[in-house]
Amino acid sequence: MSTSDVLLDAPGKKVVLMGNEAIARGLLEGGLKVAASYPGTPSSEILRTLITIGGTYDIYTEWSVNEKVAAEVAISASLAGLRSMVSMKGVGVNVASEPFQAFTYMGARGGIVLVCADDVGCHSSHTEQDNRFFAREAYLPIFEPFDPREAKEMAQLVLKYSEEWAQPVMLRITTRIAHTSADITLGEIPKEKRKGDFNRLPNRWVNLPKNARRMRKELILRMKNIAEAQNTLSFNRIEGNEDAEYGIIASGISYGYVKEALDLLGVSQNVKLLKIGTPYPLPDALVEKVLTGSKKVLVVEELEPFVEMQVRALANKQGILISITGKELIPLDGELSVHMVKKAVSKFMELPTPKEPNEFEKFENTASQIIPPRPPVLCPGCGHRSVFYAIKLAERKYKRGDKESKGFIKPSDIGCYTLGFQSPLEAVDVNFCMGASIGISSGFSKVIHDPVVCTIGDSTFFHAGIPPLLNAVFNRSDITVIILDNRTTAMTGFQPHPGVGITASGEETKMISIEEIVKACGVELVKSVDAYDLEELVSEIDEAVKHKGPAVIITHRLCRMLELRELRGKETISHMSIDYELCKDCRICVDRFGCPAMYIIDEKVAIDPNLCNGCGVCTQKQVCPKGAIIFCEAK
Amino acid sequence: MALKNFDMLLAGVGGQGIIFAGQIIMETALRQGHRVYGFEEHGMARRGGTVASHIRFGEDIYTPLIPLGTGNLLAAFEPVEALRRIRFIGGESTIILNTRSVVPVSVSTQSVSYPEIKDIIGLLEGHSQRIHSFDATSLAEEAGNAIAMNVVMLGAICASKTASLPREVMMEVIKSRSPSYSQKININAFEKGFEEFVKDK
Ligand SMILES: Cc1ncc(C[n+]2csc(CCOP(=O)(O)OP(=O)(O)O)c2C)c(N)n1
Repeated sequence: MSTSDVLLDAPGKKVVLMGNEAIARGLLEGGLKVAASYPGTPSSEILRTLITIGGTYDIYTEWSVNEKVAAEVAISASLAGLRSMVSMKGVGVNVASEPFQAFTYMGARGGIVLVCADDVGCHSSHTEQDNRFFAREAYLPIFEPFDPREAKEMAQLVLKYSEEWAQPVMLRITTRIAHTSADITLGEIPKEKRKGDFNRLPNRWVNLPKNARRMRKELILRMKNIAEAQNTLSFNRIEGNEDAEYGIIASGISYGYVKEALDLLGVSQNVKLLKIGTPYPLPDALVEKVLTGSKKVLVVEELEPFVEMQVRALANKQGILISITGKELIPLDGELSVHMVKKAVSKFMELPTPKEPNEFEKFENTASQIIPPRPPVLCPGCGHRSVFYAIKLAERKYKRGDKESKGFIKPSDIGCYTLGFQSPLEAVDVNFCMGASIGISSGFSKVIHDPVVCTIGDSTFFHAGIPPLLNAVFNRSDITVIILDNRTTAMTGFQPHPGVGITASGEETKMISIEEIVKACGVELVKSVDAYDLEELVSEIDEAVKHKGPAVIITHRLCRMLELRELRGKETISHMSIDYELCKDCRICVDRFGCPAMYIIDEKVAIDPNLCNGCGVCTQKQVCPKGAIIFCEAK
Repeated sequence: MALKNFDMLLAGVGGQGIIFAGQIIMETALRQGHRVYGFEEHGMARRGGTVASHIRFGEDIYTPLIPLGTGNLLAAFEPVEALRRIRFIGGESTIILNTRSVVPVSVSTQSVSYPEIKDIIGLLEGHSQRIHSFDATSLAEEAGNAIAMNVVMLGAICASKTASLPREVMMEVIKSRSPSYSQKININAFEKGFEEFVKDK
């Protein structure tokens, strides 16, 4: 929890660490030398922690430009005989897919792990994708811990395991493990100093079809040997009553829910419980043992029936004819809970339906009616708000000129600015994956007459925005792209990117100019604007929309949260207030601009000095035509 | 210790220092030799979003989430947040409530209203027998900074004795985890929260 704890060279000492910190520590103890990642909740703290460790223990760390590149950086370390890791959020695996699909044929030299943080429950992601299927596809053995302590143990082991089996592996966690803190016992930090070396082995490192055919056979054999060894790993074990007629198989965090549910139901001794820590390859011998000794078996796992399908296939193969239940009782979507598992186990064991504790559901119905929602919002002072506001102004102007038009089509991308969909801004119409805004816009421009004006953040532009921009130039798409440069990856916790000029470990590096990239892509109309300057923004959007072919506007403003962090203690921040002599109560500010610092009290607009971050955008005539919003002295 | 396991929920909004408070409690519990779990919401919890920390300690705990309707203590750093998370708390529980509200943007931009504090307390009384409500934010202001409200709440949690976390140990942890410029304020804030709870009893 404190950065110094994770660094301690004190074997046996217990400290409180968050799951992601525990994984970083485990990897350090496992001899990690190279770590690369692209930020994404719930994975970001893994590399963040490794960055703080890296200097002391000689680990190279980097925030890569995207997950594919991060994977390639980690893979090259493995080729050079060093132990490496690449971490990402679940959807990042889609981007990193290709290098792993190919690399798995070659096999690892230095141990290598892909740490994949799936977001069961969509806490902060747009899909619940179950990447155990990806791992199966790419032949990556999966380690799936049930809690942060086991995550640490697994992290400590996987690099050695990967190296011994010459196979890249996946450590698959979910949000509940990534962001849970627990008491973690520190282990030894290896003192061995390894240097990278590369041996030219063209039959292995050059993936020609002829090599691929041979290596695929080797891969299949490797996996067969790994599968046999899985039965002896302590992460897989049978607990409870070995003679019980009920068998339960639980993978990852589900093991914890089952343990507590059985305890609450008082039936722990009526069940044999197979805890799965490696859902692929599955420890077949243990599964078979449970199947043959039981009358009925229940498989408990979150999301897809990944283990269940394998269990059913195994039963079928061995001709074991018992009842197997899984997704009939366990939902496919969302996170499990002790409560849900308790219900499912009661049904499975034909126990009386458990009583709802404390009638909380009835109570909640009354309470929920009076709870006001707290949706996440763009912060006060956010430069994205004023850009969205300007887009809407330009759109209104356009519609006045073309009465037939339904207005702009406004695709957007992934970042804080996705929140621009909310009222009153409503400046985002479509959004689905990193970099898609520009590709989607190109497509729209070919099939719909209305102007297309899309928004994309700076980090997202570097990650996946450049190829679609090239495509728009190549295919003469008539679109306006607004790149929102706030000099950081804000959404995921302010990580640097190529436009920032510093690396993960804080070293200075070349600051890449977005303008130069855009021009080099062949875009002819390229404008740079201050993200707070409404008049300039509107006039540039007007011009860009009229322009034939792709036009790009780059809006600049350091993320206000980051700026305030830097100013804290150095400078006092002024805030806005209302001059009620001038205010005509038109409510444009509250109804259209939607800054969280503005509110209505006693039928009048007011500005909360504690929330206002002093950006002053609202003092412009486009937000307050009467000039009634004024700067106040420092708060 | 009377209880086998102890489950505590901290509820509030982004920027109220819930994560820090949770870390202090976990560290104190660790120093008492407990096994601990604490789930922190990080995801979308930017300014103004809701935040909760599930903290559990004891031997027979395997998951970080408090099973519905069983939590022993709810510390709500903001009134409506108590209602939002009440489903995790059991009837035999203690609720510590900061009565100072943080009105969400939805109240000014959509047509929803913020409930009266007395109605919130009324509802909570229908759920739990022991409710201690007080303005923790103003005590923090008295201690030197409204930001220290989380530490005032820690004082009250400690004084409630529900979790058997010794005062000296928690104070020690707070001292070791506070940056030097906020140490004095935090110690003050902790004492104020502690005294307030004892007085109220
Ligand atoms: C493939 C993929 N990787 C990572 C993420 C996590 N993620 C969400 S938003 C974001 C980037 C935000 O940065 P930027 O585009 O600069 O916008 P900002 O939040 O700074 O406004 C990232 C990396 C994701 N959603 N998808």
